[in-house]
Amino acid sequence: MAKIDIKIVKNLLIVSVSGELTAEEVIAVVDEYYPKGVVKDVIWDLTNGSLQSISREGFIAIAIAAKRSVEGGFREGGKTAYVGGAEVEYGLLRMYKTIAEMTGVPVKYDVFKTVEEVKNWIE
Amino acid sequence: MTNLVVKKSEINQLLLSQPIDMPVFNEVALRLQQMMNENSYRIEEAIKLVNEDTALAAEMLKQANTTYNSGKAPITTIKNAIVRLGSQQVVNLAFTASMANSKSDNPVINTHLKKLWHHCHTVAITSAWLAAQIRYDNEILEIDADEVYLAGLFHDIGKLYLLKSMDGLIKTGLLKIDQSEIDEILEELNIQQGIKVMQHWNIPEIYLNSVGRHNTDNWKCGTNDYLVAAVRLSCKFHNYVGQGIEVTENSEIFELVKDELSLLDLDDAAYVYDFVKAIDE
Repeated sequence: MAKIDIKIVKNLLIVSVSGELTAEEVIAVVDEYYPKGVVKDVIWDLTNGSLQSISREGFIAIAIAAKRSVEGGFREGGKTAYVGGAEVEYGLLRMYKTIAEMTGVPVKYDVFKTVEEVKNWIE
Repeated sequence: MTNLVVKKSEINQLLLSQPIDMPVFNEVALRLQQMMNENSYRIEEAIKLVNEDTALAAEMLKQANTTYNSGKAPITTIKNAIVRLGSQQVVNLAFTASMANSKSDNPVINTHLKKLWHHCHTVAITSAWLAAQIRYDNEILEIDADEVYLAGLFHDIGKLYLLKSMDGLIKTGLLKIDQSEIDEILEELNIQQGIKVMQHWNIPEIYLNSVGRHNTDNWKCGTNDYLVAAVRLSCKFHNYVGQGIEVTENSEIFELVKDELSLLDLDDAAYVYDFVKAIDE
């Protein structure tokens, strides 16, 4: 179980994760914050988090939840950035990016190694 | 054709006659491993040893935060690394850091060294990830992700030795060799020289498995089979990625790794392939 810190700055949602994250925890954040009409861009900061307990089915479930959550036109033109510091997390996030794109989640995705890199991409 | 064969056999002979005690492994990494294997080391001794090689210590900290440190606060000192990661991971870090820094002034050899490092590192990460997955999902408790990582890192150690040998011989003007000849020689002598190097430096027996059995048909022998299967699968998939071979869910390529998949009880090989591809990018 992970420790998840949520911060909303204007229309940017920053999710900072520490510890082992599960698919259910990701989906809970997606369901709660994505369809509110406030959030456009999202940063998932997994610098101190691990995704290693999430299976392919888990990643598919997250992508489906993300797609469903923005179906009402929420987050239109938005971007989601993932930050994974360790090699395995970076690899898993890149894999999720492919799954999300194939599922047809209508936001832009990218994966970064540091939060600093994300800021330029989001702006 | 005949000339090429004669020339190649001469090159092989020259390479096989080179001293086996060439510094393929970093000295501090080797001493650290010996110290940790004895299980009676003091943390202060280990820190002192690592700090003897400041470049290695710096690279170890970098690798500690990029390769290993997931789910935790940043590692900023060697003491921090030893306490937080434990002895096996610190040994892994020392070898990772030293292999990452293998360089040559010769651009052809340097390209090979970079490519080799990228391959070994990808195989190490993937093998360890696979080991962690099957240990928990399939309850195969005899597999240790940290040991598998090092086995993956070492699986092509013969190539590192051969490239360093060639580099030295080219520098002294004793060897002239082109790209395709290097590739052929690496394939031909890799395992033979790898085993010699591992034995010469007294690297624990478990890691010899990945060198001697990663590229042969008769790889199952009842000992360390899971470790060997994880390294073989990662190595083959990374080679497919390198060759641009796309592997989809029902791909025929899975036939070529069916024994490894079956032993590891993996039913979603495409997922493993996708992971290798993502790490490679």
